[in-house]
Amino acid sequence: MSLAKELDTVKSDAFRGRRKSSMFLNVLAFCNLLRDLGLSATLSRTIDVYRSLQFILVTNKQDFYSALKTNLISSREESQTFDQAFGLFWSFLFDPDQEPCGDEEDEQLDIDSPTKGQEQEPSKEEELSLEEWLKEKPDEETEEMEMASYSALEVLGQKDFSTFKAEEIRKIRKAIALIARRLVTKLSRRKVPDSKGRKLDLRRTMRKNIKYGGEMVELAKRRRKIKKVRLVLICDVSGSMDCYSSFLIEFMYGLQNELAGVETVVFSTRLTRVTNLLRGRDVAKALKEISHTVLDWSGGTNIGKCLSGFNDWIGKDILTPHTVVIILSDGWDRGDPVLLSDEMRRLKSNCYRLIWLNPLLGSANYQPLCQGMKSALPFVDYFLPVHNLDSLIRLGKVIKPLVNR
Amino acid sequence: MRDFKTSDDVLKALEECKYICDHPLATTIFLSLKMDKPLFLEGEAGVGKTEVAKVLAQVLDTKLIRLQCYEGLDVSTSLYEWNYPKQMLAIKMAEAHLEPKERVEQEIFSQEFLIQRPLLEAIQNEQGSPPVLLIDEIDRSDEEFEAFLLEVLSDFQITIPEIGTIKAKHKPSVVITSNRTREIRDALKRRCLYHWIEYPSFAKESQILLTKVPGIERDLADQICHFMQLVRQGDYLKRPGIAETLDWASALLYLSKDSLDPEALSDTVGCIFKYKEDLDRMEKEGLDSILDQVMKRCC
Repeated sequence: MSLAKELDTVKSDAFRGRRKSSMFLNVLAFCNLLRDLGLSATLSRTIDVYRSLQFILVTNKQDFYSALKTNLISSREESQTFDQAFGLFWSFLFDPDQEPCGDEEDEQLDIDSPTKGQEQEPSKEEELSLEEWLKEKPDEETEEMEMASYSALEVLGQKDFSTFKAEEIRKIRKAIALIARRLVTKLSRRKVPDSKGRKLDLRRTMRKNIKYGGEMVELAKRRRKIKKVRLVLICDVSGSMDCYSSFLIEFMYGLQNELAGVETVVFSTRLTRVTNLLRGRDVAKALKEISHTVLDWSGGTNIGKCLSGFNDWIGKDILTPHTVVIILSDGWDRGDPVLLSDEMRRLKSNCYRLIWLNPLLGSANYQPLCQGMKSALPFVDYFLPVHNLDSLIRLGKVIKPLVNR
Repeated sequence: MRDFKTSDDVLKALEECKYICDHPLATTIFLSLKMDKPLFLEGEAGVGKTEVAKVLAQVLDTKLIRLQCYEGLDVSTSLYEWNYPKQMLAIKMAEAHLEPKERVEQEIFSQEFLIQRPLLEAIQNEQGSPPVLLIDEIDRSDEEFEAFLLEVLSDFQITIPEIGTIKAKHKPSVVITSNRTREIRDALKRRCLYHWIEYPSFAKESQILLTKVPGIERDLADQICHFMQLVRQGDYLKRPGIAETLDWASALLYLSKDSLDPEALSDTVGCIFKYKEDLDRMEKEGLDSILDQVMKRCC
């Protein structure tokens, strides 16, 4: 991550003009700088920064660094941005030969990650590159998520995923993550308590029975509110499907990070459960790893056999009558059509809704004629395309009411 | 209650209780005590997040109240609940003695019939110094609980309709931990002091081992730490934390090993990795080659 990209929105004059002569104003200016960089340096947080400064020795740089940092960041990712901004901002103030305290600290701690240390060291070179960058126009790969993704939405929405170039893929990834997050933010709403539970709700029971003079006539019951697995994705990652699956998995990853109860399984020759692989990690890296382990073969796909494996091993544990299952495949099945339709029936009977996504559906003249698709279709509730961004948005709209019943 | 003047005091006090931490964490803890702000700790599993709260209670010589979060955690298990069976018994007994209605009502909605859950206990604590409240693995709870917690943490007061508002006389020190299986809302994080606990450096980990595992030799400790540092650079599903390091070290001691060898490693590899995929990967990379690298680093 280069500094130029991070400090994208901050203009030269603004940056230099921010630095004031007094400590008080400088801290304020620094908080404003962080706000411009996308950290949530709110007013209340800024006030807390000042509050914390009265407890420490401001001249002790280590303490000063830690105090500012702990007040102003709220995730590990923000920590990097903070370190870079801190190094830059305060190194102008302090003696230029002196290293900013943040780096001293980090060098002590991170003996084993030399690359990180380098990255955070605001050396002369980086100051120079800041100068260069200030004269330049903003980099193409700006970190401004929202703007990039909105334009991406407009331009790339209709485009088939398979025709994307490398840099477009990066943009679309961000857009997908954004859509997923928006979708779930709307999803989270308070649930109405269920009265068909197994446990007795004593509080409500007593209230209900006051009318009978305190004798227990009616029993009120309650159910523990547990979110079970609500969304399962079974993804074909063989051969031509690869590029589509990776986008869908990206989409699922976005959902999974915001919503409890999302499971992801991929298959080509065999099934692999990748939920844990995707959890809280770098998606691109995880995807590479998945394709590494799974893409050992590129003939046809035996969907029936894989579904049978799913029903036998994984489905039992995670499917409930409320689960929505999504299968992504082009339906080119080399296996036994009878087996496929049997397994589809089993799957259908164990879940709430079954969605089949087929990227081929995106082309106008596609008809589900191949044997595999034909034998699976009777059990499918929704048959949808998934070839471009618009179709992903459409998928989101279909999923939303299903998981939020 | 112990009074700390600087963050170094905190560092030393924690060290006395056998918790080795780095300076930023000590500063964060120091400020959280001074500013009465909750501490929000994130980090990989097994880097000692929960331990911070335990040691803090020890350092402050106060009670640790723990609230373990899980899906479906609600007000009646985290805050308070009326003891309904006891109330019903009391009513029946009052009926038998023909007691006046008002008195019965007053009686059954008193403290005696209230079951304290962790949050209420932390707020209502009146004797001694304010307790340490540990809200563990908040990422497992639902969003509704998070919103509710926000309310409690901002005022440290709880309203029970039948009794009234209970306000904390002394705010408890709050430690919230998260394993990051889902993102916690910014609103909650903003009310806290944030710190991400990294895996320890070699020097720090070796210091932890020597403090926490009695009877371990320096050589073995170094080998173990080099091994762990090496393994954490690899791409495993679940990289081992300090908890694993400590487990493994004591396992090796029980087997009376004073140095790492292939046999000892393959016997005890279950202490380090807890996923089949990780064990397979480890096997693929070759135990011998990893051990070779470890030995090279030791020399």
